[in-house]
Amino acid sequence: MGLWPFIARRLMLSIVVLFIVSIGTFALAHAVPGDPLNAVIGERQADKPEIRALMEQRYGLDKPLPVQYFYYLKNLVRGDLGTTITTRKPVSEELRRFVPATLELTFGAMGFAILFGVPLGIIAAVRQNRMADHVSRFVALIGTAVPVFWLGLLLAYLFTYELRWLPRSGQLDPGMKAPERVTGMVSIDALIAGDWDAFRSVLRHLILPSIVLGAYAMGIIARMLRSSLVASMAEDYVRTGRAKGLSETRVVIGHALRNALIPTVTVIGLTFASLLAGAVLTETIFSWPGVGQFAVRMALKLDYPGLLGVTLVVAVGYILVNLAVDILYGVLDPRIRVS
Amino acid sequence: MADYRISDLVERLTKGELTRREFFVRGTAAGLSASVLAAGLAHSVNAASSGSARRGLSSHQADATTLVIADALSGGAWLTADPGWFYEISSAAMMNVVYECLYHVPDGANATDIQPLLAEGAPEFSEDGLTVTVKLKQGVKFHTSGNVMTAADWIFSFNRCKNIGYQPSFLAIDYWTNVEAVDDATLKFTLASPNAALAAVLTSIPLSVMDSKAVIAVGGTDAPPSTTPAEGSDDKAPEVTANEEAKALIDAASVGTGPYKLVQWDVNSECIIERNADYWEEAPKLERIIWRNVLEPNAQLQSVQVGEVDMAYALQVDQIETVKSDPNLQVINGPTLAISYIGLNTREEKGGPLAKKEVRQAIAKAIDYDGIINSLLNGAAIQPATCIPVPLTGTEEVLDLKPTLDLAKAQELWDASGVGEQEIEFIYDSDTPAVGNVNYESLATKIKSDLEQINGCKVKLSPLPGTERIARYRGKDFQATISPWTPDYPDVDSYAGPFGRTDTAAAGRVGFSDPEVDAWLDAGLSENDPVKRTQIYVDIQKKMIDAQAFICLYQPEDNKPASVKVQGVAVHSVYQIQLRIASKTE
Repeated sequence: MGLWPFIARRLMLSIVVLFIVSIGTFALAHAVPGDPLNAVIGERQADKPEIRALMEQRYGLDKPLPVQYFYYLKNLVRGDLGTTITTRKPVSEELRRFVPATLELTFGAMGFAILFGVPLGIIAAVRQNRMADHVSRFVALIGTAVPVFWLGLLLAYLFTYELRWLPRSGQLDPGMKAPERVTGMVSIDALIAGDWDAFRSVLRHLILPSIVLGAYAMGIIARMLRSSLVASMAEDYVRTGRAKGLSETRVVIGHALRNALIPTVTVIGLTFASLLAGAVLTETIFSWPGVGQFAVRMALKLDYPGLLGVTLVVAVGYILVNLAVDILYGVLDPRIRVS
Repeated sequence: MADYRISDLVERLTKGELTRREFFVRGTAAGLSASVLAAGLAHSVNAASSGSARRGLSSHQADATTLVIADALSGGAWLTADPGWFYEISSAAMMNVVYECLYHVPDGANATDIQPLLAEGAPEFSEDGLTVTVKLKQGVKFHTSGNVMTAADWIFSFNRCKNIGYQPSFLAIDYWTNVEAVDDATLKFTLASPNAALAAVLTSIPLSVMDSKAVIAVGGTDAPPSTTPAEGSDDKAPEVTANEEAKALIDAASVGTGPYKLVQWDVNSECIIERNADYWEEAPKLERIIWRNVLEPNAQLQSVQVGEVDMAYALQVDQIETVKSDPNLQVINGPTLAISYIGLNTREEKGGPLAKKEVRQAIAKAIDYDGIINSLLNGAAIQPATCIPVPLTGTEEVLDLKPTLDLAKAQELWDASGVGEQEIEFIYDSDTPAVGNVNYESLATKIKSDLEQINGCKVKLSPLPGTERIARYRGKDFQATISPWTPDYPDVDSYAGPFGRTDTAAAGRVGFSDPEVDAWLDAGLSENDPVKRTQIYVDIQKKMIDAQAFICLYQPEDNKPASVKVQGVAVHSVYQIQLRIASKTE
């Protein structure tokens, strides 16, 4: 099958997946005990039935569930994700604010994970069962085993409180005006605006949360790459390459690594998608205004529109990342075609 | 060149030409070099950004005109800066200096001292107490527009708050039947019944004045909602939609009269207010106040300690001594009107044994209040006699009647009730802390431990997500609960009513009903003589203490860490922080 028909088919299937996700989320959210209106009805008014009735009417919660879902889908087709109950802001506006920030943090985390994870994996593989291998695997183990919140608090204490090298929280220095919003990612927007002070500031603020969020992915990448590179280096074509007189670097980096990267790319893709949704701890520790925090707030308040909006965005993220991974497979190995 | 060295190293490694010792030596050298390089890079980036050689994480530290405060803005505590929609707690400090009411509480340590702010003098009551006249200050101008405040602006603001129909609307509905402008400088309130708490009600931030012309210009309205909204996914009247849209604009640029004006509202980053140079009184000393979004309490304290911010909202009780021992920091401390209490369902079908007064009194006698205050709050709290916090009217007079730990008496009461072996389920929030930053799990565990000292009493702890817990509490579907209460306005009726009046708020949920108390509550509202009013609320509290449908556990102090450079800032029992005279030294 050609690439474009493959992409088209995957996108069609994605719509079905999103539909199922939305129904599942809608049903589960309404099944959980609790009442989102309690967040907007004060203590003084809570016992007045007329106030409750007014609020139910205002938020569309007085209708049967299928009718509520129908209206939600009707608005969704028009691009309207509804209005949050707690903040009374359009869900799409809230997501436009949070998703780029999470993307920015995720890119930073993946950058750290790949920058350190790939070399660690290569070193561990080429120096298999030697000290370098043990050290690399130990570092990878630290990354995967240490809880995010612990690592975050430790690094924050060390680099912010003790050494005073890096800032503690937020995206920019106190009082610094954010660059004009273009992408929503402050670093990119600062570059576009040529605001070097803001660019430097956001980079400094991005360092610690990127390390904290990327540590787990770094460990996974290192471990996965080590395993697959060890397997690749045992293949006949590697022996052939050495016999032909190629340098070891050329053999490892130019030949064995390319094959070894295939499963690692899968891991990178899935990890990227999970980071999008699972950055809430890092975002909380460093007060990074991402979608993870928003999702938790919406879940705790049982804010149906917000919850549905976040779930759909995360689902779309997973779908797109998986699609990108599949396409990358074909690029890395022409034998793996989308048939 | 670098690439060659790396590839050379890889090659030598794979060929085994490096011994382990050589690898360690070169690896350590490389690692140290990299570390030094990274450190140098971090320092240079740091220095380039801040322009300062040491500890210069932000330049505002040296700026004596800007105060930076850390608070968890995006955690749901800061929702709006529009008084018509405002019903939050944390952001009251900001709202208090951006919007102004007819009356205010200048000193948070004395919540009963209510003074005129935009009113000219105390309210004037008619003979029958049903008509109240309030004169307005003259020459007060609104932010940005420069429009002069008139009575019409007040009418608009009150009606808008009422007709938006959101959480604070009851403030503009429940306390008068009509408000009109006698002239540009005079308001007349018509009451259904006399209300001695009216001045206190009029200190509430939702009842602040807004520039009516500016609000209308951004689409806001004070019109009542239409009765037949369009059919759709949610049936909202167009007036409500218009006010929602106006809210977004008002959040971005304030339309009040306060000493500061709001210039940036971004709860995910920073909310910023700037000095109002045309303020009707002396302009404030600070040029700017910035609230910075820092979610986690430890992060807030660290931010103060490293100088990233000047003060923070959250301070865990076990960190107070740490702050006090730092010569660069101070603890700003003061009383609150918040309480943490136990509600006991007196209805037999849900409350079970709690329907018996002796059982409730036994519970009140079994709790180690001093232990809770000393161990969970490090002594930073007091125990009021009832759910009416000190020093509101009548509370100091009944302090010696507060329940105290007496296990023998508790057992005696329990045995006298005849209920035998019973299990009592306590529900409480699992996802938020109790007032005073106390962990609910610790508090509930302590209560369980105390109550199980009574032979025959077993306690089942049921932590629930906040939405579920409040739904069960409001739905009267609970046996016992641990809950907070904070003031709507600084008057005894703000507590006595909800906790004492039949079928009202908390009293309705636990089934507390006493016609004598209902009558006394009405009398207390209409009584203007302070001595007589005090006696009324003393009598009400004695009834409450006897019934023990509610047990007040503690009334916490509030402690906030700050740099020693911060001056003129006080903890405030109503506004959280009083910033009107805030300043900062060099």
